[in-house]
Amino acid sequence: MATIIIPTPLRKFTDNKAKIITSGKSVGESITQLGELHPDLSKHLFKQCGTLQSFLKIYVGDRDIKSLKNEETPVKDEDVISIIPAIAGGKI
Amino acid sequence: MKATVEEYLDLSVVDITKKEQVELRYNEAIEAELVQVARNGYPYEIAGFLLGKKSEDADLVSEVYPVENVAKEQERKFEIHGLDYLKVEAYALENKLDVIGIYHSHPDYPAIPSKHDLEFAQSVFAYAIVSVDGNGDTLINSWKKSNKKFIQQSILIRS
Repeated sequence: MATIIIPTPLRKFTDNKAKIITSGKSVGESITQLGELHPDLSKHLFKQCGTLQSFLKIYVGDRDIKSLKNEETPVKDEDVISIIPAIAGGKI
Repeated sequence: MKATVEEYLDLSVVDITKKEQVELRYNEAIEAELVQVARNGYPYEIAGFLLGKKSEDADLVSEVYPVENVAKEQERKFEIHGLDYLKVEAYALENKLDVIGIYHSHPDYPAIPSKHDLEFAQSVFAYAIVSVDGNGDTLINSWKKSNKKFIQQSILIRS
């Protein structure tokens, strides 16, 4: 079980909920469950092949899951999973 | 720089036939802060978040939340670290604020969005661009992504 923080751009797919509790035992299970709870959100989270969209990052606490065990990173009740969109731009 | 602003306008990025209905509103202190951070950062791009409250007809900015630009080529790009994004969302939730948008500067370049800006734009956010040159002259325009292009958003500055 963990709490997932939904970023502002994706809240329109979660009835404006910012925090959602899921019962998954890993990041992958939690995010998949989130997609099942909010099907409109799912296509914004995953590519057609089922992998996470490349412009999204997932953190557990303050650590990028790429520095942990990616989607297999285990989560406990007190863990907070954050979905983070890439924020970038510039004149060229 | 090119001779006119029109030369920078990329019609595959900006739809000049439409106007965003929701106005961006902030006070003179917020405007002064945006101008100052852009001048201080020159000749590099700076970036941060606009926080406040969204209503049906206006994005009301009450706070500027500067963050570090972590892009490799900061004279022409900005990138915000995931941890900073995480912090601003947490701050907004704690203080019952909305993340209204993102501001960034365009040193020696007009306050119009580029293809690179469009690539990463989220339709829910306002994108305030602060043009700044070596004399410290500035201009702020705001944009929103709609149907895969940016459309301009009116700015109302309150005293």
